[in-house]
Amino acid sequence: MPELTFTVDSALLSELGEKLVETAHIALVELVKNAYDADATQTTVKIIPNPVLEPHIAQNRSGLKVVGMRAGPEIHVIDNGSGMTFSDVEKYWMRIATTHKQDVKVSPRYGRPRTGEKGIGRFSCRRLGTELRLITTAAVNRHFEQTEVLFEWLKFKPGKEISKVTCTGERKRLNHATPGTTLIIRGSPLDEWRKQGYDFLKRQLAVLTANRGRKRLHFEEDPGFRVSLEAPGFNEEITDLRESLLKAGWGDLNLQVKAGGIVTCTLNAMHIKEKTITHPQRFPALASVSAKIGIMPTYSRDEMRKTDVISKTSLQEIVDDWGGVYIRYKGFRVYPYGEPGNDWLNIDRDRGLRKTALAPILQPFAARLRGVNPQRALLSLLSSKSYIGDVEIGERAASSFEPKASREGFVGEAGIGQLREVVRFAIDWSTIYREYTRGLALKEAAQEARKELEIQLGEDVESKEVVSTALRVVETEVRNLATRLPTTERQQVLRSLRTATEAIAKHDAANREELRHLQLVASTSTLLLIFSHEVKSLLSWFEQVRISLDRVQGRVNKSESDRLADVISEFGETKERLLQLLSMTSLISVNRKAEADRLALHPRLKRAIRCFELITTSYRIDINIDEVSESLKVGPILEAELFSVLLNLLSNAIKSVIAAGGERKVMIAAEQRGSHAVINIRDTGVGLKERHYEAVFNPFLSDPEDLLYRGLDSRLNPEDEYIVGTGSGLGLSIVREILSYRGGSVHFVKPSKGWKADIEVVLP
Amino acid sequence: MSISRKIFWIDDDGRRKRTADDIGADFVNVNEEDLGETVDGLLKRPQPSLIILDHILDKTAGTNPFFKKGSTIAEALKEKWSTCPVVGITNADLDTIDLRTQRAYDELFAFSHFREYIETIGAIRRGFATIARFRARGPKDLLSLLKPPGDEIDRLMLALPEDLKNSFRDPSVASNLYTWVEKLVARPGFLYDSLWAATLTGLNEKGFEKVVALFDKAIYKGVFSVSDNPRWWSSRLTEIVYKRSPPESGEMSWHVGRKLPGIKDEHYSCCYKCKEEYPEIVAYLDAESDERRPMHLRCTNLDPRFKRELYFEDMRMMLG
Repeated sequence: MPELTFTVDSALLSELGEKLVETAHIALVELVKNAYDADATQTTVKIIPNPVLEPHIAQNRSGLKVVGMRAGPEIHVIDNGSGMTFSDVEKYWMRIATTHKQDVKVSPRYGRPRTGEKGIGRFSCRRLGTELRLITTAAVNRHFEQTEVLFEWLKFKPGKEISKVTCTGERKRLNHATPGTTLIIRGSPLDEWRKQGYDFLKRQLAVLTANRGRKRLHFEEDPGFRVSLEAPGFNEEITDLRESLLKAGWGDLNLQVKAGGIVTCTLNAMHIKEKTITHPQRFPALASVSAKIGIMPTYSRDEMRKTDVISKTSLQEIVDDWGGVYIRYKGFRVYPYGEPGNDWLNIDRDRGLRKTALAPILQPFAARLRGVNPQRALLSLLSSKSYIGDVEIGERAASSFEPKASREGFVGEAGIGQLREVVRFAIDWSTIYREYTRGLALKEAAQEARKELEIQLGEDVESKEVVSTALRVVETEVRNLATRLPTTERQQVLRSLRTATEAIAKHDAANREELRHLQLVASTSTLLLIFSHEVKSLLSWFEQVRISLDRVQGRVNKSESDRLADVISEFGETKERLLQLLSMTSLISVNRKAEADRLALHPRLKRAIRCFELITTSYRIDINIDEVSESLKVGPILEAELFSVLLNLLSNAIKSVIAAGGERKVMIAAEQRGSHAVINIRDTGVGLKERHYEAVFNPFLSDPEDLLYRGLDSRLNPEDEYIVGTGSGLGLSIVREILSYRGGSVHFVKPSKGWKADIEVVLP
Repeated sequence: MSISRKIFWIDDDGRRKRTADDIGADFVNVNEEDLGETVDGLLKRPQPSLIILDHILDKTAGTNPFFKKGSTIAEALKEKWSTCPVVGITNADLDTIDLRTQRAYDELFAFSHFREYIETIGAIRRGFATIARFRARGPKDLLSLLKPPGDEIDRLMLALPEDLKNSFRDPSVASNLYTWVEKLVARPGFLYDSLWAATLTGLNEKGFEKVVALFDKAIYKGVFSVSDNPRWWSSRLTEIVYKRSPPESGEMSWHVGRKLPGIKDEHYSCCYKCKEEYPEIVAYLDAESDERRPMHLRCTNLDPRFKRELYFEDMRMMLG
């Protein structure tokens, strides 16, 4: 049988260049990936515009010959990787899609997972220009071998076999040299470089520069990968792309511990520019420590300062693979700080514990910023991986740290404990600003929208008039358009327009009124906190008095001792009741947990009822919860939300039975019905007509027939007015909002015999 | 070093002097005083048997922020008087004080509950004094301070933290041992509180109260024990209950516990979840709650707030 042999046509080179490597930017990324895979630690990329525009015949994408300008930039890619030997260049350089990279999944020296999987990166050179000068140096048996080859791609003409084309080259043996590869690409027929493509390149390279060093089993320690980028055509020279990367996210933190242990933190971040804080304490043992940390939330592009360096996708990749704060001791990385799974700053631990309150040291600062709740600010803390950077322990602080021989951590906790304290201080401080700017950003967006509206209308628009003015604009425009419609359609459109605009206007008015009330209610929360603090002092005094009475009790006769025991006991009971109320106020006003959970209803119900103990005892109100299953769980719901629902509904029932007079009974039943828990709160109060069942859930309409407050006026002791007698008119609407958010509902149902009202809550 | 019987109470709130007097402590008022100098002066005196220290010392004369926290002073005092227990007190919420700061003290209490801790403070004082006098020749010697049942010693040795095993002569041994005993007391395993003890014996807490005297020999009387919040060695509880009423085939402690003298139907424990009898364990109501009830193992699942630990009971919560 005759044997057949096949050859490869030179056209394949341009085919691969054009088809596999779609754009010049992808081509250049592939070349840098090759450097990365060759264990380079530093790569320089230069994109130098060609000042000489020569007429030139080139092929366009459809393969047609066109006369263009030899205008493409000259590209240099210079790396300090392992380089190639003459034989490597000869065997692999021109072999298309060699299996070399597929066979070896990691780089030989540092064990880096390969980034340029397909083995076509070198053909990207063809994509970038008509001429390539390859200079590569590799270590070979205690000396170096340098190979220089000039590839003139135009020689590889369609119809000519690749093996028939020769390239001039040179092979040198050197005693002293630095391994690495330099690619100089010239003669690109067209200038494909635009800002968009250049930014794409930066984003891709930024992912590679996120490698700040890692130790991999059986390999030398990887010192990381840096890229410098020169692109005069874009007026840009980036000496270290990693620096740009760290400044591309929401913010970047710089921390310096000066001589004497003064810790200064500087934050550059979106909307706030530069802010500085000094730690109130000094840490002399940390003098010369510094840190640079990028703050990189991955949730949205809105929190990125430089979208030319990072994108949502690339940032996620960076955070997943290289997130965390590393520690370097005199320049050397100390493991495992910042490695995946290492949480040396206790960030993930605090997030896991749902810790929301700031450390006391930062609370006064947070309290000064509008819209920041010191008890909740840590909710904005990102995962430890979203903080990317290095802490450098300089020469002066080195004596406070003793790395273990294996460089796996430090001996003792003292130094690292202080380091954690200052770095966490800086991170928590930045978190306060992030919380602050989130509110600021929303306001800014609203302001911008208002300004645009002003420009369009050519008149000033007050903040509170934005919705009504915008509605007027929409109304006018639609009316104008409607004049072109036939009469019937026009009338239909105008009717719909009127209904829609009225709905928006009314809703806006209601929202503004609700907001005004909520602002008033919120303003009392500060007073509540001050009051809580005062109550705490009072409780401490109670405790002191009890201890003194205990002492006196042992020195008096029995009858006096018994009397004192009663007093001590009364003090104890009052203290317990106050403590319970105090814990409830902090639970409601300072929500510590951010994640909803399944909660046992019975104990919460008992606790909520105890809050009204004073009033239920003095008005002899019987609250029966016998029909609430002890094992019933509801939710997922926040504990604070569940208490808010229960306290509002109980308060309404209690007010109602006081206002009605006569038999004062409240009965609560709760059971599981299918996948939902159903809670009924029945009372013998003033009742509610069926036609108001829905209306009472509207804000400020809780007593449509004025039966409740009229009844309370005549039956409630004025001293008790503050407990149940007044209402914000928002209670039921808040209850409905909470339940609806949690997938539940609330409505009045027709009460059974013996009851005047029955409100039913359905919860998952 | 000579150790006096004195207790020092260092505070910048003069109103607390009365309480210091009530418990027999020497009150050191540092209000508008230079804290550094005061502490320096104190350190020249003989080591006291205990120090009570206010955590927030913001009303002293100095401006140095280092001397505004009791925890900093605690570290300085411990450096000189390494075997002296230091108890912090505060009006701040304990969960707003980070763990590292809390660890500067041997114990940190909320002042609003001080009365409840008086006995514990006494136990700390006695315990530290005992340990200072005690010359442990090995970790087993340390365990003898716990006065454990003989058959528990091997398991306790396995559960003993490394720092206590290796540094039983270190001046910090009393602090470390106190921390470990606190854990033994807090987490059921070797020791049970009254609810766990009642459930183990098939009773509710009221029922257990009726027969509690029978279990006197099971009460933990080792170092740092307090009588107003007792614990029982779990192995002793079972041993006593089986000795009084030998179990028949298949019977567990919660079956035979019901045969103890004076026990009636109303004293039997029942599962909070399914209302059936013979709950075997105590579980939390949910992952947000600190209320616990007797339950069947099958009516619960693991509580995500706690990790599982060898030699200790799993912390569980009600299903649902």
